[in-house]
Amino acid sequence: MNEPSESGTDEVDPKLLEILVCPLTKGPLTYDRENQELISETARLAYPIREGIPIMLVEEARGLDDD
Amino acid sequence: MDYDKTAMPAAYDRARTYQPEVLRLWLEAISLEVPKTEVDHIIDFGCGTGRYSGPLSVHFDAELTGIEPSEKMLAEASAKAPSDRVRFCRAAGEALPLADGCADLVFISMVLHHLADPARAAMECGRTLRPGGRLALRTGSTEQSVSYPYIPFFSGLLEIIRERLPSRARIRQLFEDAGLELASHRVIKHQFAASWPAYADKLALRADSFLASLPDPAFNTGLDALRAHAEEQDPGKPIREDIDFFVFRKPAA
Repeated sequence: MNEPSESGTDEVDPKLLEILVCPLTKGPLTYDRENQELISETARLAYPIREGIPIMLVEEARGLDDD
Repeated sequence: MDYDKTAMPAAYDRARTYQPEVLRLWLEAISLEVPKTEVDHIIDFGCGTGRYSGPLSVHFDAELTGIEPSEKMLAEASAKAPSDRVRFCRAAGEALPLADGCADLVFISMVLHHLADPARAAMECGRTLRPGGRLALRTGSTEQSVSYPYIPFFSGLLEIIRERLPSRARIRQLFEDAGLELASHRVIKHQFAASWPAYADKLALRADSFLASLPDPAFNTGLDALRAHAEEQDPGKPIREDIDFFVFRKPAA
């Protein structure tokens, strides 16, 4: 699941990960490589990553408590 | 304007192709105010198709993070893939997903009039700048933009521009309210097209949020009138659309 893609470009740039925070709470994010998501525990949101680009928009995020 | 609902991202660069000298002029205008040695990380705020992203990173020998809400604009930016020192992220300017004080320079080009909440966006710029960091703003203002040569040809355009573009005083207020100090303001002479016919060709792409807002008949009539005018002009006469350039500084802590 967490194999790099053929182009190797789907991984989020590590330097970007160092400075990314939750746009809503400005709290820290956890990188879920397997699901290609950035998890904000403080906002209870998972932000998707598509083709290596983090989508840090609340309206595109998945609620962690929505089931 | 929601660029994702339009075909503008693909035409955006063609409608704004720069001579390399024009890009260099802007890069030099920025580094005149912002010493290169003080810049390790740049935020390209509302980077659009990333026209400035790669060149800024190279000019300042710095890392650059491009922030843009439009998926289509970012696809154009990523396709340019300038270097591994440039990276992009989809986000809104009013809610930057970047850590406090992470940037030495925030660059904003022709974005202010697109923001739903400019005051909040200005606060976010202030938050992400380190103390002593600078914000370089390339923008239209009511005072400057009403003089652009294409405006008289399009019925209703002047009113749209007056309504959407902020005045210079408003721009200054916006960033001062966000805790920044004005370091400088000047108007940069910007050659937009090599001639009147070239100007008409660029405007015909309609990759300009003001022209895109006009009803089709007003746009078509205006373009015809502009083309007729262009044929009567000296073909060697370049067209200028001068641009406001502000630099703000975040006070040292």
